[in-house]
Amino acid sequence: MSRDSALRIAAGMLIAVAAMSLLAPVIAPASPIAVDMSLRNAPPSSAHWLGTDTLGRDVASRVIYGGRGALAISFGATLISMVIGIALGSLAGWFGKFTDTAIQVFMSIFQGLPGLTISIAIVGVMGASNLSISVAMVATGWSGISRVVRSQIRNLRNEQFVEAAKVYLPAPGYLIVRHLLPLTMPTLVVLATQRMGRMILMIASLSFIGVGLQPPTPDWGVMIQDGRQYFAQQPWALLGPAVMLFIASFSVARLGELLRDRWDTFSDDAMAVR
Amino acid sequence: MTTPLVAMHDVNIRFNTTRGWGYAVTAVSADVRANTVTAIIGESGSGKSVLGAAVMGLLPNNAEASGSITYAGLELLGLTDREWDQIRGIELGWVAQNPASSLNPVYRIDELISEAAIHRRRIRRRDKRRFAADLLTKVGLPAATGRNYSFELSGGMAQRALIAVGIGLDPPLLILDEPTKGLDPANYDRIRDAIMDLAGEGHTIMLITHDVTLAEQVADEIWVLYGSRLVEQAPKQDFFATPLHPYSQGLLAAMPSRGLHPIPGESPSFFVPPEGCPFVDRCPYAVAACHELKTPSHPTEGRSVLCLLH
Repeated sequence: MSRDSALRIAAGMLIAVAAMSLLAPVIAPASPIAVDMSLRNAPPSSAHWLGTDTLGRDVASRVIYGGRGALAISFGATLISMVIGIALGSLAGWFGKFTDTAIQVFMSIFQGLPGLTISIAIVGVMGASNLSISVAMVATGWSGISRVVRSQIRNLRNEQFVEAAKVYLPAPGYLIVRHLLPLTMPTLVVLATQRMGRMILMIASLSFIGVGLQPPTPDWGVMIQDGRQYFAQQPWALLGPAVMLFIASFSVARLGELLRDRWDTFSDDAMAVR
Repeated sequence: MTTPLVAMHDVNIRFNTTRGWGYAVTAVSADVRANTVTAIIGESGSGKSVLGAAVMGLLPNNAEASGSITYAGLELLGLTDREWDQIRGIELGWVAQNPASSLNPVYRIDELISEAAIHRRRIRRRDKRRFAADLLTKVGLPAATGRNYSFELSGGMAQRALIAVGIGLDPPLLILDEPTKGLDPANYDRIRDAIMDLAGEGHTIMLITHDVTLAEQVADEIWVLYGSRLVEQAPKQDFFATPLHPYSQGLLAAMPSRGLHPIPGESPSFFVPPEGCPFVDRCPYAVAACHELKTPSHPTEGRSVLCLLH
């Protein structure tokens, strides 16, 4: 398969998942939270494509709705992480010296945090909510981005066209935003997609262990946890959300990798960022 | 004699390197008169680019400069960054070496040319194409070049585009660093013509080059730098008719049109502080006193040479 068609497939999958989540109220055949105790653990049928769960809720509808929370939070948290990462990385890379050291120390602290563990701690302290999950995602997400931005700015700031621009327009903020960051765009796009793919999985992990999105919110992580206990009797209740989770995180991350290969601007160093 | 636009007095520039102090410019005193083209010639490492960078306030952090460089009476050495911002690009224009890498690859040429003017001269953004087209025409490029990116241009076109960027704010003084480096004859001629046009419009030009032929074609005044020192300064006609310093004589004799005779010996080390004439080890006329020679003599009006023979 050529790289271009792989890229198209990954992008298509992502668009499909995003469209499904956005249009969930239109597409879903039933309410994702309506309980029907007379129709518990029903197998797939024409009325319930993926059957029902132990509370008689329509699994297909829950799967369709199940990505909304995770996708919205991971998208927003990625944007915020990018803003923080780009700002601090640019400052550190441009000014060097004390600014760099100070920011690097700060960055290293966050870099050293074990991602999932610290997320659990943050959500535990703040209480499970969309806000606390977002905070946890940003706290574990920005430092890797800022490290890559810093190294790119450090390399680019010595380019001759930057020296030339400095003669006429010496404001550092202007030079960074206008002359340096545009050249890091390919890297930033790849970083953002990979970061978002990872966040989708992390949010599902949090939900799975019960500290993320809370029932009865339809969420893939929550659904996988719920479906786990009755897997033998009704595998559809687990497989439905699991497959969607896989498609969502895979397509985002794969898109990033394919874009990286296509633009070929990434170093191994940048790829090591977790 | 008109008042000088740029006056240098006893300029010394050295670099703090891991191998110790490196001496780039030593005891240079000379003036650049307004509305003239001064060609600063010399070989690689002679200090000519460093001297240009000093006038622009673009010396790297490990450089240490002493003496005095004034521009229209304003002392340049020791200006703060903020003070530099007020004159760099506006009073002093700079055309860097290596045009291809001096133009940001993500913007079109007209964007780069008009950028400074948009921010500092209130040129409106929607007028940028016309603004850039005027400057491109001035350096002999088709106006349509403005829609290209730097990597789409040949070396000669990129060099002219970079000159267009350099004159964007119409600075009275323009410093060109090796503008004809690596160009084919056709592009070389166009750059030469562009320089002469700019001079004709009243720009004062400091032309840093190792190309003696170019200097002969466009300059009014010749400075010869060798081993960090200004060994000779003369009006062009005098210099090419009767070069006085033995190095100048050797330099001209080494020109292809004059027989391509190499100068025997090697250039002095960057790390040895120059005492006396830097050419002494290669000079056929050297005497013991040459090692002690500190100050140039003035054999005729407007001419100086660092040599005991004159």
